[in-house]
Amino acid sequence: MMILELKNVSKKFWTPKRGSQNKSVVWAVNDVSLVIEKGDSIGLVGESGCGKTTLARVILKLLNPTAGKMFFNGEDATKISGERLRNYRRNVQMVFQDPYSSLDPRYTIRSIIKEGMVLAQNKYKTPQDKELRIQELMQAVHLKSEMLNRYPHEFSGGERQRIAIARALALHPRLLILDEAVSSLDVIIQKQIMDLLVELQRRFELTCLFITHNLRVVRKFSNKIAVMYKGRIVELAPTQEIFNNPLHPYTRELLAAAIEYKTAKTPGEFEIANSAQLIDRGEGHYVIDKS
Amino acid sequence: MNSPLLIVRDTTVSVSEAGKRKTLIDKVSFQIPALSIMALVGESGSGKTTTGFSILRLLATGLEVDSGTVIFEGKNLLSLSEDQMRPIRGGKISMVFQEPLNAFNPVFTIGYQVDEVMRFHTKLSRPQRQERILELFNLVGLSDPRRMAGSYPHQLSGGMRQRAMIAQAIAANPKLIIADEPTSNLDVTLQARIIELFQKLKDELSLSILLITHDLGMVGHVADEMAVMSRGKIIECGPTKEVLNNPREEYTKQLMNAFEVS
Repeated sequence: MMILELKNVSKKFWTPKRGSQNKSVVWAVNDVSLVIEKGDSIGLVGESGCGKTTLARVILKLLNPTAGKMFFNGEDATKISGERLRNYRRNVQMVFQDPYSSLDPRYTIRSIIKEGMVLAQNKYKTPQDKELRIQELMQAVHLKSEMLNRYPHEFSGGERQRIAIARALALHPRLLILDEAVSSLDVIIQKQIMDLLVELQRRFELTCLFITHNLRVVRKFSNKIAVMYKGRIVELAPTQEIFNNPLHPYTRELLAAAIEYKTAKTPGEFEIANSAQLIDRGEGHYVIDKS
Repeated sequence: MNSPLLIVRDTTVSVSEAGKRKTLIDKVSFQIPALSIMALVGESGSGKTTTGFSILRLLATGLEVDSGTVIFEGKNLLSLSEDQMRPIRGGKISMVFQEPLNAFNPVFTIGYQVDEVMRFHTKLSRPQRQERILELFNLVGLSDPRRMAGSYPHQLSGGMRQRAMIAQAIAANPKLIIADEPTSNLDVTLQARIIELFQKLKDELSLSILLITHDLGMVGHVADEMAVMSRGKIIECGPTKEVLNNPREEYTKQLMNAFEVS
């Protein structure tokens, strides 16, 4: 079942040019088409500035796409507002990169997790229902329920990220977006959080979009990987395919950097024509054409 | 085998907490061979940064070195006066920090701040220094060095700032660079470039690098020697290949495992 479909989605920004009155156009996301099926966990990989976070913000409807269409559960979600937008946001949740700035310092952990339930008022109506759900979530992310009355500053980075995950899962989202969710953690904690995500994904049949610059991080987690470069998706394939048989030179560069800490033999700039399209190379492996 | 450039012996650092002394690093001993990259590995809170800072005596207030020696060029750095320490700090031993935006002063240009190091530590004349700034920027791979020198820290991207900080660190021809998580804030392609830059500098400028990191993959690819820290102690050290192929301590295995799976 298709959860989310992006059709030729683009987002442009105007940036002031140095020393001139004119502004220049940046296509942060350029003609991106992507299908997320139920149960998928797609890794969206690329260097900083390639547009991966902009794409996440478009999917979350924090930004409106300049062009293209979005479908959620088969319904057009490109231009929605009011109750439909609120409903959409309930279904699409986010875990942010920095667990230090994404949790309100004046809220206890209990209020942080409860806030969504209070606002949504659809499922957990009585205080008892809410409390039960909170306990369930805390247990799912392996935190003790005694911690619920504490404040974010009392927790380590890894624990905070667990809280952020619990908050995101509170309303049973159809799609969970994780934007560099482990990048600010050290390797041991990274592994713990990735293990937790794998476990939660199996248990709750989550559908995820994991955004990262590091291919290594999503190797075990994702079933498919989309490589983004200069606002375009340049390669999309099952995870094993990307690792065993990378076709685009930029994918090779990312692999060399993440695995061997080397720049690839042909590092640097790759030209991508505006008219370039993703070409099917079989086995669900797509790569952008050279022309 | 090279003779060691720097010897840290039985160094203990502690902090006062509610009237009691709490040990942060406990009798740490290791050597940095000349012309090599040595890695100090461990998770956050293991004391690796404290160890690095104690070499240059840059410990935060409240932290004190209780005992031990740090021998560099025949002198014990821990017993020098502040005046004697000054030419060493930034001159003979320099530092690359994790967060380049905080390491630069926002109100001076990058060029001025690199120049400052040479004004203090070298006898070069102003025109020579100007020349050298451009040379340094070329060496660390900053394109358009002239424009770079006139830029302020906030105008540079993360990767460029990290390169600028490395240029500052090598400006006075140091013997040792202490690099504290120099690539943790950068994305993987930039990490690879910075790592290659470190290797190139080591060979071209004949210096040693103490690399403080939690990234074992990086260590395996660049470091000649490594030491693993846990809870303020060095639990395992030796040539990188030997330690990674044949880890003796459970904690080292755990670190390696975390790295493979994540």
